[in-house]
Amino acid sequence: MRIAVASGKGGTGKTTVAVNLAYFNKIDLFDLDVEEPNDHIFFKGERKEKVVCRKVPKVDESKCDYCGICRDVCEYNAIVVLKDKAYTFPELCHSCGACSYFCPRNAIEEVDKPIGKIVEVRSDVKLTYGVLEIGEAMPTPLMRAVKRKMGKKAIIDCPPGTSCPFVESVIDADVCILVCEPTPFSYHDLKLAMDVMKKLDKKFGVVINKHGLPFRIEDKIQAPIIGRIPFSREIAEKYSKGELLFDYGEIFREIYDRAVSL
Amino acid sequence: MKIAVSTTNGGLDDKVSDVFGRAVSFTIVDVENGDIKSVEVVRNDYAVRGGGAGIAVSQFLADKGVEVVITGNVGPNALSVLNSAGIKVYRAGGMKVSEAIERFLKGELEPILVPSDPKFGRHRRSI
Repeated sequence: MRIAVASGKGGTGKTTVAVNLAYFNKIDLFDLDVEEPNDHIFFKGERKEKVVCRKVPKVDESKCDYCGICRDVCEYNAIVVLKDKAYTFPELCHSCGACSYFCPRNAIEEVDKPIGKIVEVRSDVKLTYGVLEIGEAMPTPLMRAVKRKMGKKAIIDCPPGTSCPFVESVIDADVCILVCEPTPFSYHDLKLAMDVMKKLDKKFGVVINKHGLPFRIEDKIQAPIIGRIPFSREIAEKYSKGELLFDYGEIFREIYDRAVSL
Repeated sequence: MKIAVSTTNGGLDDKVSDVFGRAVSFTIVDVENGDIKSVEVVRNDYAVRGGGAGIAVSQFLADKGVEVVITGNVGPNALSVLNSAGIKVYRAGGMKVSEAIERFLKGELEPILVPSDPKFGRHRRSI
């Protein structure tokens, strides 16, 4: 079973839940927050890296007759065709391939543009994550490349928010864990994330981090609550040192059991 | 010679808008021997597109046979397309269109050779 750990709001404890779930249940971990991956801080070991590319068009001007069809089919204004010149803006290209498909003279070749890398770490659990190249606007192609490494069993650490990268990271999961903390801000964003879950028809449960803070989030959530991580100085200190929560394994084994039986 | 001026409502009495790719309209003025032959106002449908508005507008103006652009600021992608198309770009943001044309014809406008920061116009589109 693939379990995605998401939240809506950033900083509620996705990473804490994801790394400890993976560690205490011995499941491969996938960090899909390719813009700011940091699960690797918890897991050291032998690393393997691979560059990931996406396809962007390159015009062969010896074949091009400047008909402009490629420009007309491009939804993203990524190709300009002038009277005697045709050129591309790879950073605007969404790699759909329409330009080369429709070019009547076969003048457009699709070439590789590096967008980041996949890193695999062999540690207590196997961690796979993506690192997006600086300046690359779209994280989803790299996320898809990381997901191709995923087997039937996985813990997925998702990026914050509720837009494309979030959807991309939960779409292949069998079940989602939404992590929140008892604050009005987290509750607000949790509702957005729950709305997306319903739209996607995903099974999900909620984990309350920093449980014990006064805001009564539990009374408001209309969804199964599958775990509570106590508000404690000890946990905060461990996290601040980049350590796993070794004395709290039971919490994460329980969350896992409840998640798989949602 | 066709001169395209980035504008809002458009026309010779409007002001030159500060933005290029996301200008609301373009006032295209045809000038012959120093006289204005015709004035055409075209809505900029590219202004509301996600990305690459400046590129698309530059392409559009190049296809229309425009030789000169008068605007306030122009971004790096748009300027590169305009340069490749051989279109000269001049700065006159805030100036009345008729005055900008007049001063361009007298050679008094400053050419834009360096682009503004990308996305300058994205949140500054005048209404």
